[in-house]
Amino acid sequence: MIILSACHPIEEFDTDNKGNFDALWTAIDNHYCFFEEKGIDWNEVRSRYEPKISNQMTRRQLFNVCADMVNELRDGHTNLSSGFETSYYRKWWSDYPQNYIERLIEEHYFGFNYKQLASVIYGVLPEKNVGYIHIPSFSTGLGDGNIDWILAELSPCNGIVIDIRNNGGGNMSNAEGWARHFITKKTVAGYMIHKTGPGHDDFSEPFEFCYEPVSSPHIIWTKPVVLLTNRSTFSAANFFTAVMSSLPQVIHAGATTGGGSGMPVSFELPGGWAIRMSAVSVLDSKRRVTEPGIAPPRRYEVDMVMDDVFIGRDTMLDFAVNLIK
Amino acid sequence: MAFLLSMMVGRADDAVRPVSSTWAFEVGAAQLADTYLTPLKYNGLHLGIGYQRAQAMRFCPEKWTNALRFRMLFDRARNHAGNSVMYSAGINVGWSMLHGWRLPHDISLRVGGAADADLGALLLARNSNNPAQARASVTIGPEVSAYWLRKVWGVGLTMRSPLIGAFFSPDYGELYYEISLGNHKKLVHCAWPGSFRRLTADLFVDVRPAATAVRIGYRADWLSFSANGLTGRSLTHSAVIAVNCDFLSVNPHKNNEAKIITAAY
Repeated sequence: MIILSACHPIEEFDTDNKGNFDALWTAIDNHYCFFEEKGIDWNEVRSRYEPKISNQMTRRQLFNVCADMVNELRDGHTNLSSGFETSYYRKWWSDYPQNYIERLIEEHYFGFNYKQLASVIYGVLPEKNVGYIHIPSFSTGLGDGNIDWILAELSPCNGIVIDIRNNGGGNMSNAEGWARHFITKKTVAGYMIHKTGPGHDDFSEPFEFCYEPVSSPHIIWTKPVVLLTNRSTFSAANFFTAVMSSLPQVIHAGATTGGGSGMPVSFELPGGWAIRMSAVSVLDSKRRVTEPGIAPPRRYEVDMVMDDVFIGRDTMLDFAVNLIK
Repeated sequence: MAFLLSMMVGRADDAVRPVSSTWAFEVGAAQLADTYLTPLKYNGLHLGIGYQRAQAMRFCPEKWTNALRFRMLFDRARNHAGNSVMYSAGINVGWSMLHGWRLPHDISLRVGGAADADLGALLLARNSNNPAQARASVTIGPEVSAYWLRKVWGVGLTMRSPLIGAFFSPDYGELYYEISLGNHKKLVHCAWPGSFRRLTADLFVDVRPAATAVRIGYRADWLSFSANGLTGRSLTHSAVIAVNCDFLSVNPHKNNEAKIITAAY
C-alpha cells in the first residue's frame, strides 16, 4: 500500500461489463482526434449507450453495444477487437460505388501480359504509349531500386497512370518511398497534430514534415501522371493522394478517396479487448483535414459505367489515359 | 595545497584497497504500467544480472568509497485477462561515492550520492502505431548503506533514490513516427520527486567464510514517473543471489603490512 501510494495514480476500471464500457468510452474520450471535425458530442453518445449496459449481459451482447457506440465515430480506422470479433465501420466505402474491377484491366487491357513486382502491377498500355502502375497496398514497400526498374520500363511513355484504387493504405513511409520519385525538390508533405492531453481541444501545433526527392542516380519522374482513386483509397493511400495531387505534373482523377487521415493507436480494456482509434490527425500540405476523403477537381471526377464494363472497358482508366494523350 | 596533496597520497600508499566485485542474478515479480501503451497494469516475471565494482578511494580510503554498477534487466508480463504480453528490457549504469563511519558493534554506515543512467524500452506488440515506449533517464540522488559484520557472515542494507535529473517522455498522444520526422519538443523533462520517483533497496545476507562471500538477499526497485499526462510504472521485487570477492592487485613496492581497507563492508 505504501509503495502504491507513492506511485503516480493510474485510473483503474472494474473488469465487469460496466467497467469495460467505462474504459472504452474514456479511452476514446481521451484520445480520439476528430470529435470537432465530425460534430460528435461524445457525452451525448454515452448517455444513449450507457443505459444499455448491465453486468448481466453476455460478452457478445456487450460487444455489440460497444461496437455500435464505436461506429458512432464514423471512422474506418476505429475498431473494437475481442477474442471473437473485430468491429468495422464500413459505410465510409459501402455507401459508394466500388469503381474498380481488377480483372477487367488484367484481362482486357493487358491480356494477362502485365509485369508484376511484389504486389505492384505495371506495364505499357497497348497502342496508347501510356504506362500503367497499380499499387494495391502500402502495407509493404518497394526499395528505390525496385521503383527505378518500374519507371525505367515505362520511360518511353508519354505519361503514366498510377492506379491506387482499392489501396487500403498501410505504412506511410512506404507511400513516401513512392512519392519521392515524383518530386524534384524538398516538398512539404503535410502536417501532424497530436493530442497533448485528454481534453477534446488539447492538440499540439501542426508539425510540418517534408519529403526529399530520391538521390541521384535514382529516377525522378517528371512527365505527366494521372493518379486514379476510388472510395476504397484509404489511410496511407489517402495521404499519398494528398501529396501527389499537390505536384504540378500530377492530375488527380477518379472518385473521392475514402479518407482515413487519422493515424490510429491502440489501447486495452480491462477484459482484454482492444480499441484502435484515430488519434493523430495528418493534414495535407495546405493544412486541410482529409479525413472525409479527397475529391478530384470536378472536371476530373469520373465513375465506372457498367455498360463499359460489359464490353471490357474501364471507364475511369480510359478517362485517365485520355488526359495523358 | 601541495602539502595536503602529498599527505593524502602518502596515506593512500600506506593502504591496500582491494576491488570488491559483486556478480548478481535477480529473479522475481514485476508490475509494469505505461499509459502511453495501455491503461492496464501488467504483472509477470522479472530477471536481471548485475555487476558492481566497489573500492575505497585513494585519497581517504578509510572514509570514502566509490562503486560502479551495471545491471541488465528484463521483464515479461501479462495483462489481467492474460491475452497480451508486454516485454521490458533495459540497462542501468550507476556510480556512487559514499562517506563511511565505523559504528559500535561492527556496524558500518555509509552515506553519499549516486548517479544513475537508465536506458530501456517496453514492447506491447498488439498495439498499432504505439507498440513501444522508450525509457531513458539520468539522475542523481542520495544513497545510504549499512553493514553489520559478524565473523563469517554479515547483513547489509542499501537504499538509493534519485532527487534530480532528466528523463524522456513523448507527448501525450505523440507517435514515435512524428518524433522520427523531427518533432523533438517536450521530450526531455526534469526529474524531481514530483515527477520521477524511484527507490532501489537491497537487503542481503553475506556468508563469508573467506575473502569470497555468497550473498542472498531481496531487492526492491520501484519506479514511478509522470510527464505530459502520461504515467509509467515499474515495480519489481526480486530475490538476489550474488558472489562477492575482494581482488588485490600485486604491488611489490607496497608495504606488506599495509592496512587492507575493503569496500565490501
